[in-house]
Amino acid sequence: MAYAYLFKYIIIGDTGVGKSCLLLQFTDKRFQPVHDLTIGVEFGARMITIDGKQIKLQIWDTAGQEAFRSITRSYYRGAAGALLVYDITRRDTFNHLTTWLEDARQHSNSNMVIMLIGNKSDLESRREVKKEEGEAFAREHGLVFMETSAKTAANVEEAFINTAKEIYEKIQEGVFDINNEANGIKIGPQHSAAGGAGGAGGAGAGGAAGGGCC
Amino acid sequence: MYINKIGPFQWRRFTFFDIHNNVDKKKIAECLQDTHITVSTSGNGHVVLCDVTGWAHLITRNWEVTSFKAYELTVTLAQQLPHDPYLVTIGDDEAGVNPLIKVWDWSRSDRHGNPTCVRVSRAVPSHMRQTPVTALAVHDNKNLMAVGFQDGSVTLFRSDIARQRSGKMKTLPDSGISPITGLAFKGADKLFVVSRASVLVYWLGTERCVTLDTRGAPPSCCVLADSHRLTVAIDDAIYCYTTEGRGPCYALEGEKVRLNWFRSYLVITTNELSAASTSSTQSAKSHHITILDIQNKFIVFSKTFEAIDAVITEWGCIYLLTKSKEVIYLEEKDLQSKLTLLFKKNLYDVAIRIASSQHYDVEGLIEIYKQYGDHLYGKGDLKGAIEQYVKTIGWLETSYVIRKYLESRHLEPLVQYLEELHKKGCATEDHTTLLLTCYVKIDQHDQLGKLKEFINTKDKAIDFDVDVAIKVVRQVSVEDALSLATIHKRHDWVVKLLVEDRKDYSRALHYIADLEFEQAEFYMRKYGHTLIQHQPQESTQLLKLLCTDYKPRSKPLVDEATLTGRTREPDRAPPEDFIHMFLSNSERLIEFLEHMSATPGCSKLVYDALIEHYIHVWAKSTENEKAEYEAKIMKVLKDPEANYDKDQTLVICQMLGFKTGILYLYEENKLWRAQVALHMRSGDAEGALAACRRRGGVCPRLWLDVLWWPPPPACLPELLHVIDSQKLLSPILVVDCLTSTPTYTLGDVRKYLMDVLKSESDVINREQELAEKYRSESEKMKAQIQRIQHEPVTFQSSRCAVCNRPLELPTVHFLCQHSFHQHCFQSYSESECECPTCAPSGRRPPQPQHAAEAMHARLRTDHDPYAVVSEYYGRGLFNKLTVVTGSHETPPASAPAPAPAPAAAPAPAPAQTYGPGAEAKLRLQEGHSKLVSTNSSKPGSGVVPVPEGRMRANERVLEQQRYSSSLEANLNRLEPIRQKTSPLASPKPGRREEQSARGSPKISSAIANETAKNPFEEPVYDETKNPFADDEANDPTNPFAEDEDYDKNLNPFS
Repeated sequence: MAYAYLFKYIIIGDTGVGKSCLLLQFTDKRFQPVHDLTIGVEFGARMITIDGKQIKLQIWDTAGQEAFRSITRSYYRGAAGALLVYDITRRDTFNHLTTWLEDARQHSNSNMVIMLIGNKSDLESRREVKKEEGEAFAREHGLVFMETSAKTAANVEEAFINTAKEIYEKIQEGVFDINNEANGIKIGPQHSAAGGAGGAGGAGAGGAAGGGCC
Repeated sequence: MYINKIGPFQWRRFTFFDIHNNVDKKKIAECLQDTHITVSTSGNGHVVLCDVTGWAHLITRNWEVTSFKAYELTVTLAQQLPHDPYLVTIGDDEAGVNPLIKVWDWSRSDRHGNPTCVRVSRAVPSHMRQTPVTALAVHDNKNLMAVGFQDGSVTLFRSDIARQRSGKMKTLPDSGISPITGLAFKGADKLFVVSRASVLVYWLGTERCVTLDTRGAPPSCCVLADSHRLTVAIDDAIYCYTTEGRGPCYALEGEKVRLNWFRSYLVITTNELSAASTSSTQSAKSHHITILDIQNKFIVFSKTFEAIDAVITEWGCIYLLTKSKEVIYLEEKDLQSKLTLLFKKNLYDVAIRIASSQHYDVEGLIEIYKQYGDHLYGKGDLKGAIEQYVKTIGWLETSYVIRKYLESRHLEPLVQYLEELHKKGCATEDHTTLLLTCYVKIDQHDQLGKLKEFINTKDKAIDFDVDVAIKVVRQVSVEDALSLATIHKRHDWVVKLLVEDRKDYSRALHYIADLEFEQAEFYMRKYGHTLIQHQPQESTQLLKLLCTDYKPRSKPLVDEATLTGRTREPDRAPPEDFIHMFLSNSERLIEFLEHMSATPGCSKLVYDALIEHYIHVWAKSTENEKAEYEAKIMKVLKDPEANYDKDQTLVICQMLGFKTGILYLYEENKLWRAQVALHMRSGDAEGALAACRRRGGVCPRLWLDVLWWPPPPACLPELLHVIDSQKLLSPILVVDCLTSTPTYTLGDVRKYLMDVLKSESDVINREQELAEKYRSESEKMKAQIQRIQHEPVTFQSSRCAVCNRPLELPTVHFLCQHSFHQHCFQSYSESECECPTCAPSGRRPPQPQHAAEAMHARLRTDHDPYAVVSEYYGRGLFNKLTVVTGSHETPPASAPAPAPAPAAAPAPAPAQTYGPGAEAKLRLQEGHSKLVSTNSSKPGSGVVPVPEGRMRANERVLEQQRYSSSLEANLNRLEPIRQKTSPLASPKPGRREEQSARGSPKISSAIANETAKNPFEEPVYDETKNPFADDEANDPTNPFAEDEDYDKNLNPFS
């Protein structure tokens, strides 16, 4: 399917906070109560529309376990956006956010848009982390914050789409170098011709355009 | 340590493979006993093993080995094409670094029985620096071959691999300097290149190289999975790459030795470093085989073997070749066994995943869901169980599930199941009922308002039978049922609920008023009765509308149709159908019917009902209102438009005693007698008399009716006067009648009796006088006859009666004292026997043929006399006997000289036979009579007596005629010209004998009467012999006469 841009996302956070469920809800619009642990990195994609443009989101769902940290780290690079997820019913997942954030900042490009997600908002009765706390953390670290529920699908779309919007804005502002794929942004086939004509010279991007044509 | 830390805990592990040892019966071991396998490849039904000594071993499925010396020294790489009998090998024929590429076609044997070598070429052109070959990839299309080298370069051969002459050979740029460890073609235009340091993809068409990863992999640790994803095994994980970039990765720790792809499994060989081996010697080296199911993400086999030289995936199986040349066969369990295994562990979710990924048949899957559900149910996870049961909808008997949940008290899972059932359209009526019942129970318990929610789902997310739902909900909450019915436009239910349950009749009416005509009509028919009972006012209004020009209230007054000019036929229900609904509510009915009768063209029934109910109301109302209603009723009755059934109305009037109406209807139906009777019954003699006065002229019988009904004495005088003056009843009978009533006194009838007696005596006197006069006249006549016979006649006239000149001979003289000149006589006279002066007035016009004569004539000629008689009878010939018309009154009066008449009369048959002679004789007689009269010196008086008598007779006849005609009303229309005397008077014995031969006495009497007018025979006799009063007086005893009169008066057709 033709798209104007392709954004690469990464979902990070402690194990069991619902990263895979968020992805499943976003891509398949369903919820799987019993979900296997993610071992390694998984992968999902969906088309969205922003500003009238088709944008393909390619989302990396990473394993949250400490043991896989080394594997998942390699995926930070080349992501334009990250969803940093914690579980509002588990205080420790919130406490680990700093580590995650450091990790992400360290291994990704500096322009990556990070959205803080407090998941499982449907389990209000078991809440351990107040929404305000999440908001405060986000403010402190310059993140966008949102509470979601992968079960009820509340705010799930918004989380992904808002992140995409932010990235899109950054592209418009020229913060991202869209010709460097390491930024996690790729110009779609229909844009590539224009990109080539503009003479923006990255060898990789130029090559990609050619490949697309073939 | 690292391995132990994470490896075992991450993946689910199963054993879906069975291990079979010694499948080759040691054949391989025999062949390859002493050597060391360097490379293995398989394809096209064969496995190829190459060893360090340069031998290649081609193995068939039956483990038959064909060995041939491929290289002098050693074979380093080999690839068997999957679909062709071509084997590509790279090895050394001589010492030093000079690898040769050989292509073998093992379908063709050379003279030694070995596969034919179709091509030998140098892997590295001679001008380039020789470097060892580390990787080989041959494209299935046999036109592409890539060779990777120790120094990191990749050479691409683009030519038919089976041809000796190599075509283009090209070294790819930018491939780095680390040894190439793996090559894989992706399609014909992309090549994955894996080196120790990186993973690249080459776009062969554009010679573009994209770095997918900056980490490489050890040799034989990359494979093209699913023929599109490059899977690379590194120590910490297995990474997937597409030509676009990185794909997912699977964390699996271990030092990878080999990676193979089998169906959807990754067969991973890792170095097993036992605690012992790391510490001491490396002699006990062993390998660990892990088979990973990529799709379902679990490990399906995991076991440590002794050192493994090759993993062979051919013939749909996995074979492991150990260092000791033992072939181990890993047989995949069949699906059923896998599932059984999983069931044992209660891993139903996994079972489902596997089953669906292997396209297990639906019924099998359903069975798994069911078992899973049962399992969860058994564990008490009712909600989880229902989710599984939901998946069985459409296959599993619903009662199985429902029964389980009915037993427990957990309704919510059941509701969930039922809802799903409805969504999938598998629900029956009972399911709907059950679901709603569940809703109700839950609502009772938790106040969740589920029912409301259910009802208000407007888009009908859950497919259910609305009627059933309404029925169920109705039992619980009428209001909810109502809203359900309203939402789904079940008008029938809405109205029914409103009327029967809510008793909200007004709302029901409003609802009906909004419906389309047909429906509104239907529901008014159905519920009209109840509605009228409770909401008479509004119901009547609606009905009025419905029966005139109905339009749904919700519609605009002027709709499009009328705007566009099309005239809409007004919808109008027949009001008759609604009348019965107003049972016992006459007032409303009247209102309704009044409205209806105001519109044109309504039916009889409407008027009937209207009148009936008017009368009913009238009967019930008080005196004051009565007048009002009476006026209304009479207005309808008198309305020429009102098309009501008079008879029925009359019956109703009579039942309820609505006298005004009865009288009017009697009047209308010409039932005057009944009218009079009614008046009399109610004691309203004055009314009766008024009716008599009004209609007595037409129906004189009315007077008699009043008389027979003993009227109050006050009325008697008028009554008796009429009876007397019209001669309706003979005085004897009147007296008889009056005496039967004891209340009358003589004083009441004195005047009448006096009058009667007086008139009787007058008549007698007059009769006597006449009798006297006639007697004297006859005396005179006798004398004159005598004179004529015996005395001479002198003709003394001196002038001709014609020319009035003096008579001259020859003359003609007549006995009537007229004399003529002969020539005058001849020129004036029509016949010589008649006096021209007397003849014209004496001659009568020819008698019109009488009905009786015509009938006789027809009786004689017709072949069917009976038919003629009956016809005449039907025309009323015999009904009436006395009619005298003016045409017969006048001739006798103006004919003083009746002389010639007898001759013309047809009746006396014997006279006719005499012919002219008789005429002459009569003439002579006439002459005598004339002479007599002339002689009597009173010329006029001599002729007078006879006519006078006849006049009298005629007067009597007239009198009588008036009498009888008034009695018998207008019975005689058919034969107005008949001239009859009273039938009672006419028959005479002689006549009867004479005419008996001609038929019935009636006919003969008619004939007799006919002849009776003959002036010569009858007048005198009649006059004296026929006193009418006497006849009447005598007659009442005659049953025949009386009966006849009576019948005719009652005859409705008259």
